[in-house]
Amino acid sequence: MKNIKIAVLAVCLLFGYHSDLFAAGNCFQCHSRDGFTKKFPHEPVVREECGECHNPHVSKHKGLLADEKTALCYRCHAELQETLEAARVSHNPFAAGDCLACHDPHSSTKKGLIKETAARSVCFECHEELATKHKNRHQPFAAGNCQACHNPHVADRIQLLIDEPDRLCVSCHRSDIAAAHKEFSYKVKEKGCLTCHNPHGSDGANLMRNVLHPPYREGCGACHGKGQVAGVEKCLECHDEVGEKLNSVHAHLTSKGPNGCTNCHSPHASDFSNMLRNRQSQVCRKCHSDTWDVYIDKPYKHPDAEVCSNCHAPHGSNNMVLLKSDGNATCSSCHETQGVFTHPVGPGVIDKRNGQIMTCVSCHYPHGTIFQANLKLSGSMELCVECHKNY
Amino acid sequence: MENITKNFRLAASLKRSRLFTSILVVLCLSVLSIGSASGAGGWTWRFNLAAAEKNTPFQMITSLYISAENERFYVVESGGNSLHSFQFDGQYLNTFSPEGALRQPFEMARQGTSGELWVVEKGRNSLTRINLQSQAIVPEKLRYRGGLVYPDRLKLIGDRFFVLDKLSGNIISYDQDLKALDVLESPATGGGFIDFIVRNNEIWALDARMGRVHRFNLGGGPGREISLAGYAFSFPVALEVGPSGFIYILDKHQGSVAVFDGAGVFKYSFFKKGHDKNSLYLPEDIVFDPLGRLCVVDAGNGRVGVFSR
Repeated sequence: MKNIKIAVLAVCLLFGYHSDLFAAGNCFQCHSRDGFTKKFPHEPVVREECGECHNPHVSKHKGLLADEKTALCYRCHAELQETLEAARVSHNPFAAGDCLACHDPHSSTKKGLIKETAARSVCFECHEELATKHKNRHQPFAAGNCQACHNPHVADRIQLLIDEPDRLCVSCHRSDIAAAHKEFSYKVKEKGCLTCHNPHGSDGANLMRNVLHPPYREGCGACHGKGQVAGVEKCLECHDEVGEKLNSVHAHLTSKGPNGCTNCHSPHASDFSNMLRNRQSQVCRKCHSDTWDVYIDKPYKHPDAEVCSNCHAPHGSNNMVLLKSDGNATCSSCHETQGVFTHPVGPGVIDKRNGQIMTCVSCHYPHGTIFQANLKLSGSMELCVECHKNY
Repeated sequence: MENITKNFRLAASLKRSRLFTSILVVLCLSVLSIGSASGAGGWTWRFNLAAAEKNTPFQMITSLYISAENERFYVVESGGNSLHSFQFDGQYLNTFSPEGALRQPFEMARQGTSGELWVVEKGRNSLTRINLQSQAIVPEKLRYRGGLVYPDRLKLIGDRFFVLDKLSGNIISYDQDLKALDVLESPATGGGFIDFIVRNNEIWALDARMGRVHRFNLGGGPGREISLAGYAFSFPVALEVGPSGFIYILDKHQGSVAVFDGAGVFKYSFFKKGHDKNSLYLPEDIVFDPLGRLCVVDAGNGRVGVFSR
């Protein structure tokens, strides 16, 4: 009988110590309730069940968390994990499981437990260059309502846009379009808005992008006849050096529409002197998302990996993968020492694996890899013994 | 005595059983060894077309033309400004590389009756007529509705040329005088065609960006659109249609071939990115030859791999 009593007591003690049953009241004996009582509290906080996320006694995770941060969040928010797995484009912090980059786990004055920051949006904590960039700002952007156009977790489109850009613009501005363009000699269609306008802001009026294409400044007639679409030959009348590049094995014409130039360049207005429609990395990524995905989250990335034109000729090239010159010359244009003193490369040096001329790319994947120096395999042995089998 | 007979029978039965097991093991090993000899997806590497004379790999090969009439492979080596011919058994025959005359040849076709070659020259942005006997090389610019055409892929069916315009993503047909006859436009909602083939009076065109294959009836009947489902492409560059109607899509960045049934349902994929004989590195094109062999223009490995089942 005595033994049974001891056993019952032990079970009670065990349950008493179990973290899930640990009352929050105890926590707040030491921890201030400040930070837990804002307008939008986290549900476990409302139930005062700190033990859902913390172990009150010991943990191998910082903050006495009961699990890794991401795994902990996914215990309840499992649908987000599924969303991530199915996502075409994901926000870096979300993909890295850093939920606390944007969310406060206890309570917030903002819906969705969005972290409070001094900036007008938590987004500007990372995207700080955007915060003060423009003199005139688009209203949702000025209000820090980035989610009006972007999904902070995942999206089907690059830059996490929640819909096609034109559809997004028209969803608010349908009634403005005709009036805003009444001085044009033709009816402006509900498309191509971003050809001229910056959706965040600009230094000029009507969110017109800051750099205007000189012929556009002179009027539409410089390129267009009566509402006619200007073909690639019209562009080449001025940009004849590009025409030469288009006569390459790999001409970077994009097999779409009468003017391949305008797939990457805006013929009217841009934020960039080369009239690109977006930052270069984003323009390239629009079609080459598979390349972006391969390197973007790798620990060893090429320092300027997002400036594609450092190595690639964007209009056309007679080299593989649009390289500016052959594999070695492209690399040694910056890596001068390696161009002189390195593992033998170049004509006469044959890669034993495929009989091709040995180049830098035989061992390195220049965009980024999980190995030091952007090697394709571990440089300590694995890579070398692919050819040097007897060592 | 009865026990001795029983034991003898038991021993004999054990012997038979061991023999049966041995045969089974040998059979299994044989099957396994056959399996390991064959390449990915049941395709077995047979030989490579390579610049045998120079004993060096091709530089920047872009296409393979197969002539069923004279049983020849023609390899277009853009990096070497050369055309190479091979027999169907892979034996090297000849190289056409007139000094400075070709500028970045990309794709070719051979006129059956005259034996003349028609070559897409990227360096000249032309469709170039080559008479091998007289060595005459005549480049011609192509135009359509007044606009300049950037020829990419080329097919010659009878006396009609079908040219994929790299600029518009449309397929334009021309007569022997290079007068434009007709256009097969990629749908406005699509991404433009990046490759096409001709099979049984039909053109099959690949819209890679939208993951769709369009079938156009050259006889004038209605076309068909096939959405390719169930496979995540990286960078599709070429299509081919197998003898049974399956659609083969070559993925340049993955170094693989994805196979779909006639309805566009993914069936399987084979090859991987790499350098060994069953791997591909930045391949450019795939073609079935008249013997049912799959030929892969493996630009990054500088060879044309010939595979059979």
